[in-house]
Order: sequence, then C-alpha cells, then structure tokens
Amino acid sequence: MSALPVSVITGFLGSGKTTLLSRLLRDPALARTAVIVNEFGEVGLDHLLVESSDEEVVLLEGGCLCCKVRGDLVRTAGHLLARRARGDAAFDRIVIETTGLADPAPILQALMTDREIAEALRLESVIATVDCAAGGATLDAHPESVKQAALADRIVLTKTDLADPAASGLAERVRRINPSAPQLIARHGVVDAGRLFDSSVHEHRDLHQSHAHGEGDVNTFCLRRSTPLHAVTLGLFLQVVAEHCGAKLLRLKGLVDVVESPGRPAVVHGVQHVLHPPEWLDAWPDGDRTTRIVVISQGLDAGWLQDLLEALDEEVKACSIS
Amino acid sequence: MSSHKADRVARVLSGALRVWGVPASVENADGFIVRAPSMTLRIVPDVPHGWLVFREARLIASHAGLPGLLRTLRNEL
Repeated sequence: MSALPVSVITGFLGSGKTTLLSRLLRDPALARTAVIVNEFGEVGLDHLLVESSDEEVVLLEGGCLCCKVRGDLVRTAGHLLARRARGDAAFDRIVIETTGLADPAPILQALMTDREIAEALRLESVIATVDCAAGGATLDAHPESVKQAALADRIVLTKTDLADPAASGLAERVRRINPSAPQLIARHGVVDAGRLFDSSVHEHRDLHQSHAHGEGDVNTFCLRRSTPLHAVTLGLFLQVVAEHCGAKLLRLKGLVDVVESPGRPAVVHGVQHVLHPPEWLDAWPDGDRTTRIVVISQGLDAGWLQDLLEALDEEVKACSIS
Repeated sequence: MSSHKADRVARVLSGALRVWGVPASVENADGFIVRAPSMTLRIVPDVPHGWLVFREARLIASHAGLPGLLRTLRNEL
C-alpha cells in the first residue's frame, strides 16, 4: 500500500490557518481529506470553525500539539489509519493544523520517525501562514513564528486585503527567512489548493537560492556543487549532519547529483537529527543539474558544511581509487 | 596529505568544535593537534587512508574516515 500524503499547516496565532483550512476543505480536490486539529486552551474553538463535509476531523484536546506530539498525534493518526483500513473512513490525505504556538519540528519528526505511522504516511508539504497585517511585529516578537516560516515548503501570505506584503517589505523579509519556499497570496483565505499540495517537498524547482540569508538566529543557505557526489559520500554527509548538528538543523532539503545514478538525482530531506534516506527522481526537474542542498538552521555555518561535504568526498574518492 | 586537504580537514574539525560548543583549538602539525582545556589529542593520518587518534602517547582510536573521527573527538572532548 502506498504511503498516504500528510501535510502540516503551521503559522502563528491569528495568522489565518483555520480560515485557510476551512476554504481549502471546500475545494473538491480535497474532498477526501482527514483533518487533525488542536487548539491551545480549554475550548477547541478552531474545531468548530473547520467545516466537515466528507472530511474526517479529529480534535486533539488539552494542549499544544508539539508538546503532545509523540502521544496524541501518533495515536490519532494511527487511529485514523486503522479506521481507513477497516473501511470505516474514506480519505486520501491527512492535513494537520498545529496551534499557533507550536514548534513544527517535533511534529515533522514524529511523522518521519514514529514506527506506527512513518511507513504509512509521506510528508507532502509544510505550509506556513504569515499574516500581512501583523506578521512583521509577530516575527519581531516571537522566535517561534520565524521558525514556523523557516521550516515551511510553502508560505501563504494572509490578510492581504489589510496590508500589501510587497509594499511593507514583509514578503521580502519572509523570503530572507526561507528563500526556497514559494509564497502564495491568500485572498480571504482562498489559495489554489493544487499549488499547495501538489508542490510537495519533492518539488525541487525552488532549490535555486545560493545566497545566505538570516532572520534572528535562523540562517538559510544553499550548498552547491557542480560535479556529482559519490553515493557513499552523500550517505556519510547525511549521517554526520544528523549526528552532530541536531537541533541546530531546522530543515534540510535538496537535490543531489550522484555519480552512480546519472540523470536520476537523489532527493534528500530532513528535520533536525532525522534525515530521510535519499529517494530518487526519474529525471531532473529542470535544466539545472547541479547539486543544491538548502539548509535552514540556527547557527550552522555554510562554509563548514561545504568543507565537510568536500572533505568526505575526497576521502571516498581516495578509497575508491586504491 | 596536501596542504590544501589538510587545511580543509582542519576547518572541518574547527567547525565541528564550534557546533558542539567545545572551547578547543586545532593546529596543523603533521596531522592535527586538538587542544582543549582538559586534554590534548593528536590526530595522525593513517596509511593508506584514515585517522589515528592519540591521547598523550596512547592510541585511543583509529578510523577509516571523518565520520568516525568526529564521533571520537566529540566523545573525548
């Protein structure tokens, strides 16, 4: 059975996550969607705002999703999957809406690593909402909102009827935080669902940023290499990064040209110390055939990772020749 | 080992120390000397490939490549 796509909608309090989700669920393309929502507080108000037609909506009560993720999320997702397997629920996608205070990293880690659900689910997309009216102040005051934007595959700029994100500089600021995530404009909560969900972490045309950027303690850069890497080098590099960079690595995603797989690039992605084994595309998504690995971190040095990659490849090449 | 390669490996080791938050320095000296407040480690290229790690005069580890070397340094420091 193929893995079920799961997407995560994150974004700070009041940034329009629920409005976005409500509108998305009206799209016929998302009719067969199960939704996991939670709300920070005693009353799950967000639950009431999410319209349930064909969707399965499950409310995680009693706290912040990131704090309870190992328990509630895994249990809830597992429960949904079991109901689907029994034929009691029909859905082809799961969407998780986090609370505005949630750090999405533990949620992504759970989805990628938990034994009960990791094999059944495939992380499709991380979507962050950024409020164009209050987003700048939120980014100033709340580091977790920077992290939410930094971890996303797609940014949805909301409340654009109240403020122009280009004129205010917010769009550019968010681009500095996460240059690889395309920005979509929501008009009264409406965006093209196809652009949000079809464009999963496995769409790679956006991995072209080569300049380092930063916001607060979050820095984003792209490692590039014009000659192919040995597959062993790639494995060793991911191993070292996972082992030593830990919490400083917010997100890593990239396309890698591998010596042993000409014309079929490897896709790599990971969150903190969890890095997925490479997957393989049938072809490059565009004319750019250089290795590019986007790293979003808290304090990692681009030069160090580039040196590490080159040094590992030199070692592997030396061993291969002898 | 070429000076170019040695410089790169030294940068890798120094960068790792920064990532770990370990107050230590790396010197190029027919291999590398890692000086931390609590100890000094000497890293010598092995033949034909790999690394030997000494604390004082005692060999404490040998590794085929940087991943193992970094693990040993982190554990020791």
